[in-house]
Amino acid sequence: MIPPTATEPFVFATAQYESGDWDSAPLVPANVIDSVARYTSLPVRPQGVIVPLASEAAFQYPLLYLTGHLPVRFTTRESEVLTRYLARGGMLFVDDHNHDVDGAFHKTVREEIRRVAGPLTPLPNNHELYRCFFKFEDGPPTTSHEMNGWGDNLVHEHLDAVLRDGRISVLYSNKDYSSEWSFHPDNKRFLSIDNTKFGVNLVVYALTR
Amino acid sequence: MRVRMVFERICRTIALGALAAGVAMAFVAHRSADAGSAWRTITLTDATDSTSNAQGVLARTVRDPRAMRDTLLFPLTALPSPSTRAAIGAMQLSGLPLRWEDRTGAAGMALSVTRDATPRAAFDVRVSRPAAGPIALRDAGGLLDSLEAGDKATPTVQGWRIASLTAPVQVIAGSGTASQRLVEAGTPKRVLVIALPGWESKFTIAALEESGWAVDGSLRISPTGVSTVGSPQRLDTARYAAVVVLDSMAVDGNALRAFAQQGGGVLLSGDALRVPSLAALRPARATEVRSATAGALLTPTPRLGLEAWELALTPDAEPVLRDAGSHGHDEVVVAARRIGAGRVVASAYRQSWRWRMEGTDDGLRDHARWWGRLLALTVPDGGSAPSVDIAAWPGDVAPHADLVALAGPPIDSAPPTARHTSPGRGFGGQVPAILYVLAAVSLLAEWASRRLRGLR
Repeated sequence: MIPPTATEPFVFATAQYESGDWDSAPLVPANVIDSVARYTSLPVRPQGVIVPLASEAAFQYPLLYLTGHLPVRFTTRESEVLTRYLARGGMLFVDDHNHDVDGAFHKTVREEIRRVAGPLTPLPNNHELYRCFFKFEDGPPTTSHEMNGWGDNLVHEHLDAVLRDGRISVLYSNKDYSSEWSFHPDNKRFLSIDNTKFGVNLVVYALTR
Repeated sequence: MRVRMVFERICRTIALGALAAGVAMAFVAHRSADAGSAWRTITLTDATDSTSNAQGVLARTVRDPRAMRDTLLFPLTALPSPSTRAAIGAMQLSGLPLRWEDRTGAAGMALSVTRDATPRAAFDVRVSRPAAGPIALRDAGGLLDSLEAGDKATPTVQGWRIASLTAPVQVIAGSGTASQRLVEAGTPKRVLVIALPGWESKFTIAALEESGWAVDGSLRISPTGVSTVGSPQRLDTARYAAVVVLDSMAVDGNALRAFAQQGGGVLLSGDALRVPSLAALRPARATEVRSATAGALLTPTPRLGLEAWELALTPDAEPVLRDAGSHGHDEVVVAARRIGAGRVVASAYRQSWRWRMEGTDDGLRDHARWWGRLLALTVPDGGSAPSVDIAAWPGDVAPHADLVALAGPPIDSAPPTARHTSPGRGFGGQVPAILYVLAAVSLLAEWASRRLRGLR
């Protein structure tokens, strides 16, 4: 018996690149997947995938998560795949795991993004990314790493983005969501406010815009 | 002397007789006018140019007390202006008996200028004319095109598809002219996407927008949360040209059917063909899934790289496109059927977003074209242009029809008893003046004779 409809589940994909430490936040995918399943009725695959940026397999996952602490230098192949990926409508979410504007990751990855997608510009805090599911009236939620003075000791007021045809093509964060969301989903019960809700908005935006 | 007296008596007799005859004839003529309906010819020199002159003639005619008893006859050599036609219509409605004679030679021509509901919003110009003859189309910039006479003397409808024009639009056929002063500003209708959130809905919306469509969508994220694209509103052919259903189970089949009945387009793609509430609407039933051919997305036949439903067409559906199937022969992948004034199109392919993301570099463009063409099947260019409500289109789009509607059909020819309203002679023009001349001459001769005899 064929089901009436069989909507393909969302798969959270982490980008693997040759330079740096792409796997610095291994618990983030599970945490975001848990939140998507917890708050929405979207079909979601329980396990995320790791996708080499140099591989054509990246095209199977229109939302990619990329993070790290170390300098990022895309290979020629990675740059070529990522350029095509973004041109076709893929969305790349990049988070600075250092939370440091003077850090190696921040300086290098922004340069790489500029090469493959164009310059990053501030994303207005009233962008629909902040209201497509949960409402974030003040823009991107702050993280405990910002509030506790780690990294660059700054509270970043907004995220940066590269827009393509009005849609976010690359989203860049200095807020260190990679640290904020890097815990086992079961531990959410100890939080008074779930700090991964913004991850749900990220997925919903990617799936609907 | 005696002879002269006789002469004078004869003159008096003649004068009195002539006067009596004149009075009698006037009386008889007055009685006959009261007894029967006289035809009075009103000549409008107007036609479309000197409207004020025609209006003046009509005003004087209405003020004439005889207007209520005479049947007014308008022999028209050219179609009157809209305001003159309106005045004639008002006279007709007020109960004045009037008829008109058609000498215009412009019968039955009508002009319609509308815009497509598609993103291109091209102008659909149509001209209806009663008989073959050359016609010319003009806009504010001058002559646009002309058509030669056809070989049939039957009514014809001809038209043009024009990307750009400036009102007023005028069509000239022989001595007839029809014009439309205003053309709708041309806000293309929108497309409503009904789907579950996912890559298919995301990239379908993107492809439709790249094809120029404005898209509304309502994507259910959770039992209580909906993510909207655009500003989705109630399904209505006034706002939406078509509805695209991708996979959603939460779709109102009755509303979609009513939408199609009223002329809207419905596109059912992929898993939407399995939605039970759309069973009565779909052109084809999806039976089983045909697997994608590995690697085909990177070949010149990328659709083979997509999963597709095998379609069993309903009896009134027509196959639109066949692609190579998995059984060694081509299989229907797009089918269509009519429902009421609208069309329902079925597309067998699932997860078409992979064509764009995983295909060749042309996949992005081809994917957008694919969706643009599928939607064009439901909203054909010009094929279902809406009918024009003449009252809603200021201008002179069908002057002859308007005149017939207001003043009734023309008479074949003027009746032989028609009289002109030019100033008459004698008593109201009804008594020959010769009688009065005769009376005056007789009295003058009698008076002269008496004076010559020395009498007063």
